[in-house]
Amino acid sequence: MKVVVDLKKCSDHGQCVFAAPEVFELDDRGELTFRKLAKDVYVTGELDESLRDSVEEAADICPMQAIEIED
Amino acid sequence: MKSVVVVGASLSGVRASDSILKHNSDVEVTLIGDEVHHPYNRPPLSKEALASGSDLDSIKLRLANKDGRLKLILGRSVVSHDGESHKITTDDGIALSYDALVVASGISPRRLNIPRVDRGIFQLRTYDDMVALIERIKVGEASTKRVVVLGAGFIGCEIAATLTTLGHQVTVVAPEDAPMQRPLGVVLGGEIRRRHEANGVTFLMGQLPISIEEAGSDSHFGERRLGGVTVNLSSGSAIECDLVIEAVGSSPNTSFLDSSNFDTNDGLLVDETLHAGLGVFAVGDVARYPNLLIDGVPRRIEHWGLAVDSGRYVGRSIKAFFDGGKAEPFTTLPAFWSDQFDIRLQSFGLPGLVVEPEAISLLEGELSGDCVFGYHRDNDLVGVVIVGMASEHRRLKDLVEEALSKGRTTS
Ligand SMILES: Cc1cc2nc3c(=O)[nH]c(=O)nc-3n(C[C@H](O)[C@H](O)[C@H](O)COP(=O)(O)OP(=O)(O)OC[C@H]3O[C@@H](n4cnc5c(N)ncnc54)[C@H](O)[C@@H]3O)c2cc1C
Ligand code: SF4
Repeated sequence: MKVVVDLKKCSDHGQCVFAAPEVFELDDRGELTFRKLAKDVYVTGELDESLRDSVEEAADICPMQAIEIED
Repeated sequence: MKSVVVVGASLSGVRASDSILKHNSDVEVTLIGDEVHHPYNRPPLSKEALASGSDLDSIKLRLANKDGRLKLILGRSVVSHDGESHKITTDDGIALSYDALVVASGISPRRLNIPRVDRGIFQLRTYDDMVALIERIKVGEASTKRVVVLGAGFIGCEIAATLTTLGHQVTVVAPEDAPMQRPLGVVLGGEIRRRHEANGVTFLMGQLPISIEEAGSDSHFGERRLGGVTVNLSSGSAIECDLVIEAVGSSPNTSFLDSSNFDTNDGLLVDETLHAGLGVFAVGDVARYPNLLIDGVPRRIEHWGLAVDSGRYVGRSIKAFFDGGKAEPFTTLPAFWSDQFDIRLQSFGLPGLVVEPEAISLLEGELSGDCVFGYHRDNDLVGVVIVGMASEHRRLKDLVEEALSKGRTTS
């Protein structure tokens, strides 16, 4: 399982951080840290299956619907 | 296989069908919605999508179809319900039986009951509403449109901000003293007004529209334009404009339940497991439910997050119902956000419960910059509204949650 974040849709609401703090993080300027790693789309490495529930929750509660889960 | 019917194919209905399928392996879901489009996300309609005129594809909601157990019926409306025989009927005369029913039918924008012309007045709830609004903004002599927004709630203020950013001339008319007065209070509402004004929005507060007519030759303001309308106000003044947007509140979509014996006074009344009885559940904007984390008084909450959380919850509640029991109560902390110009508002708890100005105070920061307002009832914190400060959200959410649990044990 991988998580794909559309950084052009994302507007740093940070709701994903509540749901899956193991995966998402905001920096001290309030921006998603993935922004430092990619411009348009960030794809995580392979994530452990134990994170599925929290990652699904993150995808559900992202106000911009910017998070997709890839199997 | 048991059958669950979900009425309303939008945010709460989509999240509900996902969770029903996830928590109930022996269930099929029929999701029925009266809009023709694939389910989509509404918040961008007053923000990014309105600004960029973006298409439906960019705002579609993800909809899981676990093991092919979901049937999606779009463009059909549910017109009646028989609670005793567990059946609903659609507008094309098809009757469907269910083992459990989820009411996820949301709300419709209210219309002011005033004399009005039959063109030039818009509302914004659906994708089609947004397309019609964008079309109207595009046509006509002048590229800068004069827009009157009736209502200074979140949606009215968001539309005002987006259209002003696009270069239009926007006037907001509302009866309160400050925009978003409930839930923000007059101080923070007044500050948001100041920031809107600095960006070019005009506010006419403390006024009611009394009629909307064709722009006549005796118009008081501005030059006349083809297709213009005039909004007459309670103060005796009038504003001529190219279009009016009515954002004056909402009414829950429950008319198909009229024949049932449920309480639908203000949305469908359900218990703390979102169950109204007889296997009928409600989620999202239409649900009037008691939140035991707060005070157990049934309320409807029109927030995006509530639609997601209640939808995600209801699959478990239905499973418990099928098993002959009751799920643990739905006690998620309500939250909302709103983006207007560069202002980002985030709330946790229920600030709207508090009306007395002295029970609302600046907790952190500066009013003119990033700040946190606290809303108290009997000295207990029941909600916060945060301006900016994204990296502090977690801490402030925990603060409200703690205060609410403490308030409950001491009262
Ligand atoms: C322009 C706009 C901006 C918003 N911005 C924000 C924001 O920034 N932050 C925030 O927290 N919230 C925001 N919201 C609120 C948020 O979008 C709602 O809380 C959310 O959409 C509620 O979802 P729902 O599924 O309960 O209801 P709805 O989205 O209203 O969906 C109900 C669906 O059911 C359908 N339906 C109704 N009756 C029937 C019937 N009899 N048969 C079949 N189908 C039926 C309706 O047509 C509709 O498609 C905004 C809303 C709008 C309109
Ligand atoms: S919740 Fe969505 S919009 Fe917010 S930071 Fe996460 S990905 Fe971005």
